[in-house]
Amino acid sequence: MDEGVILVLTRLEDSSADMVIGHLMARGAKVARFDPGEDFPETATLSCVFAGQSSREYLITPSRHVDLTKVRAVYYRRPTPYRYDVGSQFEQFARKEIKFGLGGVLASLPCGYVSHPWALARAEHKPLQLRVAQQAGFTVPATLITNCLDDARAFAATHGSIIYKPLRSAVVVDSTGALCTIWTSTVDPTELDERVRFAPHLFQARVDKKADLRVTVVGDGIFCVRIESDLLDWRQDYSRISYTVVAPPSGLAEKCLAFLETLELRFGVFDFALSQDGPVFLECNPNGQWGWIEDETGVSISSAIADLLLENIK
Amino acid sequence: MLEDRNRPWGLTRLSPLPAASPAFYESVHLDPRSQRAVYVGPGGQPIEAGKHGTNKETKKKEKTGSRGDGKDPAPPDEVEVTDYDND
Repeated sequence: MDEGVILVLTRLEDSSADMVIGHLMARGAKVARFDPGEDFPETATLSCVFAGQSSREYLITPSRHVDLTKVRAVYYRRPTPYRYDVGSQFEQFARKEIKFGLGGVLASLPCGYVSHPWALARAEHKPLQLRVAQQAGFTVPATLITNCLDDARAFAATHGSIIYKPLRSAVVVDSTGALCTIWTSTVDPTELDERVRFAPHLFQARVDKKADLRVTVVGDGIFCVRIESDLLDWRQDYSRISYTVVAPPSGLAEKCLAFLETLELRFGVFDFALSQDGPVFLECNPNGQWGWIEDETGVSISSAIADLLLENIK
Repeated sequence: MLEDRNRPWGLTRLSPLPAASPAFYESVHLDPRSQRAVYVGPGGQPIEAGKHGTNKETKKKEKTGSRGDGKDPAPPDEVEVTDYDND
């Protein structure tokens, strides 16, 4: 029986996808890897007929001829973005057609996705995450999203120690050409000023934590790793982290699964601060990185993702 | 980039990313058979992942909050929300 192909949408330099593809191949699955934002249209061809009962849909990548009616599952990892905001008007038109044509076809295949790109896009919004996290029963720190300076000051006065983190992680090139980012950091209220006005800012009561948890959920599988670091935001320096695989605290797995189900995700990487009273939800990264966690701890996330893709997910 | 006068307060919190480790490979291409990336080192020799202690190096680029996994310094994020590139 022709079981169809697993379509992996990602960029070339994605070593985590390499790991998953290795497992898929070892299990005898057919894999087609494609980077729609990079390969199309120069080295790829798409054709889809929608006509009554007959459907003929194919995608030719530089190395595969894919019958799109027989795709078994899609692994949506880290494809190159469709950038339609650059170039001439005519280029922008072409790029938009690529996004809505090719991207539209790749998002409407009658198969399961890990995870669906539109579900991912929705889930990337922290305000939605905070609501869903509360519904799922997580402890969530008091959070303020505002561009009102007075409200920010009042929040700081109420909660004592607060932190700031951007609503979307960002990389900015500064005036010297250096790449910069914004880590989660504590806020001294006297530092706040009227520039809060120019964007919504996310402030949160600081959690008194003894460690962090990085929890990767693959289907029903849960990989819980305790992260010890002397930094508020451990991403700032990986050399200062120690990792321990731990059993998830009681009730955590169920809440994670409820959270992901609400957002129609089959995968998610959660960050929790581990307080005296248990885990406190910080955020979920719906397409979060896990490759280095597997390297550091030996947990078999890549294999679990391959298994999930080979199940008859819908 | 916003004009200076409209710069949100959050940007006062910018700090430099740690320097990227130098690329351990000179080129990379997709192996048609395995559908995995093949990294080619100086002298044109393929680098087998994990065999030269370099697999970890590629992984380094995929840690969360890093600058993405390519050499492209363009902001990897927020070009549009359905095409994001961060954790």
